[in-house]
Amino acid sequence: MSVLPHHRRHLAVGAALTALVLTGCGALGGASDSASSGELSMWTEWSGGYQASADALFAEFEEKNPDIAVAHRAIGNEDFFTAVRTGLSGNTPPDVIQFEGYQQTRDFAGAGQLLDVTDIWEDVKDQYLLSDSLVSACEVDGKVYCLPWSLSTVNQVFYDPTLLEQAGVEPPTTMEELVAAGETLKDAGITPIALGAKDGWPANHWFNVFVGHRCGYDVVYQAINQDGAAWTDDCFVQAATDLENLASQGMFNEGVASSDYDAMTALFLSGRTAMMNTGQWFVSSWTDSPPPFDVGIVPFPAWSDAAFPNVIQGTVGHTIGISSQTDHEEDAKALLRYFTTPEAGRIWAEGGNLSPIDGVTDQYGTDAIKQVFEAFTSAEAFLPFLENELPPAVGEDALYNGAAAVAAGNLTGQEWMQQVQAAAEAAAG
Amino acid sequence: MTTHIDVQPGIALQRPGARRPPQRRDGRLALVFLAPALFFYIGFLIIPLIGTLFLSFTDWEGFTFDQLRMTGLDNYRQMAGDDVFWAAVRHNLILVVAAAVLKTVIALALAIILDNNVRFARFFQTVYLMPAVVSLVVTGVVFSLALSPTLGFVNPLLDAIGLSSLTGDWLGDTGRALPTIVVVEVWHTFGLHMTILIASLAGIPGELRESARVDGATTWQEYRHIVIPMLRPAIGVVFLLAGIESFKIFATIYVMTRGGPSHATEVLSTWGFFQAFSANNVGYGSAIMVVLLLLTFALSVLQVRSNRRAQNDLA
Repeated sequence: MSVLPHHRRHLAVGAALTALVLTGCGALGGASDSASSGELSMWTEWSGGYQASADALFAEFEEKNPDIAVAHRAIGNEDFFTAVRTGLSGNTPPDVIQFEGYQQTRDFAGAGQLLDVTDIWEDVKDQYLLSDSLVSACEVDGKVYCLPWSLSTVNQVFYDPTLLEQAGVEPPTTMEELVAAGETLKDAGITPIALGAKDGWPANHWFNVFVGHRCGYDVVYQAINQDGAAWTDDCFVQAATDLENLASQGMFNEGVASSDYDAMTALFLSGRTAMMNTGQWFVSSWTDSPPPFDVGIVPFPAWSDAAFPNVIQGTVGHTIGISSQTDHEEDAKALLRYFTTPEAGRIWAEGGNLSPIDGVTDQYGTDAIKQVFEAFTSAEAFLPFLENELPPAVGEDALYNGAAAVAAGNLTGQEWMQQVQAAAEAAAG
Repeated sequence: MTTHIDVQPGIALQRPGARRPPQRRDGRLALVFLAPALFFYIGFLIIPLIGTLFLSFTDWEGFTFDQLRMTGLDNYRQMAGDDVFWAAVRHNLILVVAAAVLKTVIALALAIILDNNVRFARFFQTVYLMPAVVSLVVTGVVFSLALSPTLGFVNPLLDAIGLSSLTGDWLGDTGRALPTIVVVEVWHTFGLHMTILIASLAGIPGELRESARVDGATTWQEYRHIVIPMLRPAIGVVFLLAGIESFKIFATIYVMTRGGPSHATEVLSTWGFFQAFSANNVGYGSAIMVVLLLLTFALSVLQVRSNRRAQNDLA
């Protein structure tokens, strides 16, 4: 015989169901919850080729700090900024955040979301190469809100030696040689260059390099700041036209505008294209599953008439900061300090990545990454990724979309720069 | 001998131990079991909707609520001069009309074919329904690969069957990308709509159709004068659902084209998403979503009215 009256039984069932649902909701709390003491949460873009290095880093840190466990969440590059933004605005950020510095530092620090770590930077800056220029990725109004962790550069062209040999061409040392090699490769039935411009930034990397060579560091920053130069100035239009010309000369594969980065690298690694430009992160991506050929690397060549051939694209790619909302400030600072050590830098370099810590990449980097590093350190000046210094409407919309359209042959370089300048003027208000 | 029973006015005659009227108890029971669903409905739909409406009147970068500023109708005024916004509206309307019409026509055609004692009808019904259970992200990834000019099989297949003139960059060509999205969108859910129409066909009284045939009506006349008119409410529902699905399309486009190339497949949901989550314009992105909501609501009202008219005509 039932204890409860009939209607109250149904109320109890309904209440139990609701409680179950609410419990389920609670259990779905994100990785940003630092629920247990001694546990830090950290979000990064260190998936794919970075994963092995990331695992080794956290393992070593936890071994040295047995009271601290790191809950690491790796988020894909395309969605990373959205996830971090959502975490910050939803008051559920991780304790420690890896991000890409520059405009992101200004955005996050401007919103009061990052801890001032100037004191830590002052303690460790002498361990870094080029510390005075690197810190610009993390500095806002004289205070430092993150520490540089990894260097990035797209100042290299990867090539398949077997395909070049098959066509009888040498790795190019100038852009003219690259174009000539491309023509010979085409005659031999080989697609010269892999490019997947669906997301815009792989095509924009070409422009990023050309614009440094054509315009130089100072003029590029004048255009970025809309103070003394405009994107429609001759050198920018020339750089954009350089990309347009490569497209019109048939240097790229079919389907440039619909192929993404993964398709681009698949084309190259499967031996269907002879050359590819992308960042140094590509080196760590083939460590676990090497391609069927020894990937060659040459520094990104310059046009013979380039005014600034030694101004390269190179930047702090990854920075690490601490959320101002962390409840574990001391532990988070311990983790941050760990990332400044040569030991951490060694793990990163051994994984085929560029560490800004002095001496580490030279000594411990893979042969491929050492080649990239050599070109990096001999440059006259470094330009960051342009979109990291521009408002999203200019960088991620006008630059990215235009780069993809130019690379696909649907827009001229001149038209592209007009769109970028219009977006820059609109963003400047 | 007569037995008198005293009955007080206003009190229903009840047998001892009888329960309350069933309707009142059923209403309370319904509320209890609806509680979890209502919780989700209010918590994950109504409250976010109200939040979005509020944010549409603000300027906010989305990092901290301290930075939120009320700006009145500025975001809606900004739309007037936003070329990409108007392109997105156009693309949404094209998708709604093209995809909804195609889904409805294909679903109706297949429902009628399968209604005619075709062999293996249930097997075909299952096969046509299968795309609807595949996740939109998976659908987008697979179609992107299949349509890739360098890695896909569609172009080589067209070459092999002598249709080389049709090959191209399906998702990278500004002229082809949106029609390609329409095809994928139709493929994904036409089976679901077909299932709705098959169920409605089963509800048409057999004797009506039988007597039409006895009176000498051809198959075409039977469908034209009996089946289709009786299916009008169901067709209306299918068209409404298909239209709403196409209006709120997001995942397919985000995975396949991100709204490109050069905004050629940009729709209100993707443009609003970019504004809110990439361009740090949460207020403007919210305003775009409010416009999308209003357009979807208007479509629903129009269709419900049209449906009622059709039902009244049938009656």
